[in-house]
Amino acid sequence: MKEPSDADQDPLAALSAGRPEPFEAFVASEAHQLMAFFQRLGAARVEAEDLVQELFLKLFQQAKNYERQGRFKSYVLRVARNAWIDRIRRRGVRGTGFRATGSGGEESDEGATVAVEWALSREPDPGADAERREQWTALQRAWSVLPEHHRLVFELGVLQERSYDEISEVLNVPVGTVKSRMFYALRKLREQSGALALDTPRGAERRE
Amino acid sequence: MTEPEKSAGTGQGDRQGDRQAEGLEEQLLHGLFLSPGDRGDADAMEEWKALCAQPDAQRELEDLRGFLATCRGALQPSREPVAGQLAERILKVTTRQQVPGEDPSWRGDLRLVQGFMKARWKASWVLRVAAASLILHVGALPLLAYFGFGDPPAEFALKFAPRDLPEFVDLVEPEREVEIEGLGELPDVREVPIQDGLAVQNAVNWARFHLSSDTPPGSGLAAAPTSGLGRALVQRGTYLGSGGATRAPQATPSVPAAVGAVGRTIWVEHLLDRFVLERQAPAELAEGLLSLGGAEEAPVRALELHAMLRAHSYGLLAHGQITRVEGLLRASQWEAAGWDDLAPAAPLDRAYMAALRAAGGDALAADPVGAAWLAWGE
Repeated sequence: MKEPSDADQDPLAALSAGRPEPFEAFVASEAHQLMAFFQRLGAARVEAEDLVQELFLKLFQQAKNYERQGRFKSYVLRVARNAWIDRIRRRGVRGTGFRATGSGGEESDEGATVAVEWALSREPDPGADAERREQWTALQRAWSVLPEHHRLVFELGVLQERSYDEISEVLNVPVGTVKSRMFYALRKLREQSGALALDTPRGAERRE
Repeated sequence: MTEPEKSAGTGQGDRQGDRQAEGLEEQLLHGLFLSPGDRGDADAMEEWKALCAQPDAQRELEDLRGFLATCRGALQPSREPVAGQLAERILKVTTRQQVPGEDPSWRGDLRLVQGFMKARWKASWVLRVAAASLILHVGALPLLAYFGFGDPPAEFALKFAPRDLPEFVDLVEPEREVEIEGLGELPDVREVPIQDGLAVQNAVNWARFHLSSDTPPGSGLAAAPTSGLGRALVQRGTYLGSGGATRAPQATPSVPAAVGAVGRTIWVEHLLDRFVLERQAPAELAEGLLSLGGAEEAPVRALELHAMLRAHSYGLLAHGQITRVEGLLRASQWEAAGWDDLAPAAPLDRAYMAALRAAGGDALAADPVGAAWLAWGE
């Protein structure tokens, strides 16, 4: 994603100044990313569409009182994360994360089930070999059972390509906490997915 | 590979190496997520380069990058058509709905107001109580208007209504003059029409109604007569049974002597009632008529003349009796005595009762039945 370089490129600041083009470009480029963001957190597709639409409407309505603060994408992700928390509260889901255990079926909840369904729908290229398909499947199952606070850090850092500072800003937690969560998220993902099966130099070595 | 398998594979000697590898991995991971500001920092970059120069760091770094790339590939979404449609939908309700020169933020104002109101509603119990009170009062207004401006409720009151009067028969009495020679001063003689029977029935009904309603407890027809006069009155009053059906009076062989002169006139009036109603003269009637006309007292004589004139109006008097009545009328100076009101066709009217009171005197008042009749007459 291209980051607005200055205040003129900030979509809401531009909208407030009477220039809707940056906002429109932002919506066109980020709608699918934010949909995926919500789906990875456990929203069904229709629910993710609603959340994205509500998110952009909220941003649009806040344009009048908008004050530029930090990076715009970080600001959007913070609003998105708050919207997701509100939605979870409205659903009546309690606790800090998902309790899903994947295909074992011991303990699961609606959000995690949706996350698994979404993750399994992400298939590799048709030309990919069986080994890569296996890797993806293992990784997607591991993702679906990751605790939510680990999933959020990994989502923002790896998939949204935010730095630790930005993640700290979005989640409103210290950078040290972000580092710790990222490390443990990574380790859990590798353990759960079976890192040896991944297409990495160490994986290849261990496979041998 | 499961955890036990991994432990068995690595062995005790490899654990320390694994911990070192984890530490290196963590540091490398942190380096990958340095902020742009940190990357511009020369010291931080030197530290990062030194870390990467360590043995196994290059391979670990590649391994880490490969894993993260695999994660992105597996978890990043493909471009779905629905995302494009969603973006179009969002733009339609935001920037593209805007009219030129319009402040786009105004659309949020209503929602902000609603949000503020919802938040205040949830936060303040005082506001909720005030709203509930307002609704209650507004809802009560129609009730207040209904009871405040409507007709006042009826107050409790006892209502008294007269008892239903007995049914009377319409009486149209055609008159026909009957001339008898030598009786120019006598009242007109008429046939005994059926209306006379109805008149008697009405009169007796009227008397019974008053006697049963006006007399004090312990008196009246229900009371036992204590004199011959009372018995005569009872006999007359009970002649008609309930419902107006006639019933035979108690058979009496002759006019009882004990009833006295006033009682005899009542007795004859009773027999005349029977004649009118039964269309047949009772056997005692002739004897009763003969017993009349001997009274010395003027009030009693008036009653006797009343009964005799009534019998004459029914054509029941013999010639000799008619002459005698004529004589009595002359002697009593009927009109001069003020007895004109004693019309023979209305035997129980107020004039008759006044005459009865004048004739009966104390004896009539002493008898409970007589007292009841007098009370009615008043």
